[in-house]
Amino acid sequence: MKITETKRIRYDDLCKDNPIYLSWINTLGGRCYWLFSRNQFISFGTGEETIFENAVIDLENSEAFQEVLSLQAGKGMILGCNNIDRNDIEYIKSILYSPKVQILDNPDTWTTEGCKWTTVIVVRGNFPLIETKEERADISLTIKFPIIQIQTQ
Amino acid sequence: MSLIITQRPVANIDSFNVSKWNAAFSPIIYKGQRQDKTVKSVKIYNSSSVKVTWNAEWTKGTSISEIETGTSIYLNSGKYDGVYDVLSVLTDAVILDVNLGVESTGGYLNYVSKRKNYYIAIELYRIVDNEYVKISDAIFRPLPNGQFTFDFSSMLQKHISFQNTFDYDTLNERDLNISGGFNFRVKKVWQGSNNSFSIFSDKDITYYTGSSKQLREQYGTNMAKYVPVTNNVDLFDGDFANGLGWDITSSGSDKVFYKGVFYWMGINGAFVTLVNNRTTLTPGASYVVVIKIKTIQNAKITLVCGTTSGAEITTVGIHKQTIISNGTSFYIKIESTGLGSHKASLEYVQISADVNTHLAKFLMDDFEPTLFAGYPFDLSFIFSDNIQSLELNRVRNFLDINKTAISSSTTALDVSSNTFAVNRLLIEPISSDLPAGTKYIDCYLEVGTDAKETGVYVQGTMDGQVFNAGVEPLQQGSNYDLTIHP
Repeated sequence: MKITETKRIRYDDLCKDNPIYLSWINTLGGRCYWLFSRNQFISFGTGEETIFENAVIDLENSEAFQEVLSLQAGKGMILGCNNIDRNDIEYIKSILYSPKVQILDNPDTWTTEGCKWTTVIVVRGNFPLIETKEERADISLTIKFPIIQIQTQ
Repeated sequence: MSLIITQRPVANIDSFNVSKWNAAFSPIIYKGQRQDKTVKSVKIYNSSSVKVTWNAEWTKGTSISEIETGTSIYLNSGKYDGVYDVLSVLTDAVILDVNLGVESTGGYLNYVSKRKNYYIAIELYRIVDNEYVKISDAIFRPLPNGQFTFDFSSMLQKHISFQNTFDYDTLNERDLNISGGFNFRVKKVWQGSNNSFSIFSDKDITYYTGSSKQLREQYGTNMAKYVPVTNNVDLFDGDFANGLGWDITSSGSDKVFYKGVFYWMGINGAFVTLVNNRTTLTPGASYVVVIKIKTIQNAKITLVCGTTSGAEITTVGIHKQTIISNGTSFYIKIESTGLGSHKASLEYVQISADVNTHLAKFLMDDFEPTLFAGYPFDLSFIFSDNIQSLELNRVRNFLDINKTAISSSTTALDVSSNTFAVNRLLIEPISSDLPAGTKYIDCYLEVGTDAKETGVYVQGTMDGQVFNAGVEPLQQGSNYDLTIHP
């Protein structure tokens, strides 16, 4: 006796270079996965800077007017995939509002050493997805890797 | 004197199956009613007062001392809904300082001045490794009319994490980070009270998953859509007596006992028939009958429907047979097979339709997900209490690019230690490849073909959405036992 729906899974066994494999939790508590490949754009962001301004009296012997107290910096990556159908767009769309998105750190060796998942943050915003008249479209999103730990002063 | 739970976070899937699974990021609500005494009638006593008679069962209690002249009582009966002063106390009634000119029957009354600072203390427990582990204390105060509402969702959310601990090398594994079972006990507290917490009943265990539900979803905050069930039609568990669904006819000198279990003792050539007269079977439809035989000696058991009978059963244990209904009820025949003493006993009989109408969804919206070869992937499903101890198979049908079937594969799940939680289900094993040319995989779960205990459904207090009205559902005491959670 059948007790669940039949879930159709697409099987993609093409070789992918430069794989970026993401896993995310969906609103029901299940997990979704997607493999971004070929060419992704690596970015680097800095910000959240706090500056302290010195009141300098002795100009001749002072080091600075401003000192950086703290800042944040981290790698980012713009991920995209081209010409995917509505099903895949709807599926990948759920990354954008997932509370837990993770990247597989060891895509080549996970079968022997176990999966190493690192949590990444998806940059929020407004994403154009697909035109109603189209059946296929491109999708792009940006993830932020864990921030670099930097000394403060 | 009781607290009555009037609404629990459960959903009826069909007349037999109840989903006790809730999305923890939506409210998980119990509603109830404080009723210190139930009222039999309210009669006009004189021009300015009424006589409130309470139900006889309560006059024997010690709580009578809590009603005294000069105290205040909340009365809810018909048009009477308020706090009134007690003018005098009789043996089974009380005269209240109110007269709305109408009489009524039923209702309840709560002591106001004798139970100052009344509240309900709750202890919330989570089931961890087959034990109750306390995760929260809480206090709930009933409204002036005695109604109260518990919402456990925020307390449970703290125990949900989205950490991924699946190794992607096990066929199925339960994920206790994102799901689990809980139960609670209550205590009535007021100034000077000395009550104990209620006793746990394992039947009251309810489950949560780390999910959130959207507007307009069927079953609301309940996860019923994702809860697998078998299509039970009827269950006879300990009720085999005449008039309880069976016409029992035995040959002259047989002995038949009913004591939870149906016992039969016969002499040579004797027989007994149990004709089912309760279950409605659709003519032509196929039904699975699971029968648990406790003892059998020099006897055989057959299931008969019309003129068709199933294979003879001569061994103890659980047996599963399929019957096709011919429109008449079926019967169970127990006959002696030889010399010596002839005995047999039946523990339960469960009848389920062979075709399931409620197909549980996997924990994913209606997408076709993509499995990238060589990368970790799984589907999540709820291994519900409704299918506990059932043998389950994962079925995968491999299709080519034209969606034509290439081959199929059926694998038995590990059911021993993975029930009562969300399970992760592996689709592509690490060590073996899928058939060449596979472009689609159609995957589902089915009940295995081997006879196996089909989780005799625990109805108990979950029958419908209301505890047995008028009966104190949560008893006093502190003992509990946990037997159904492996």
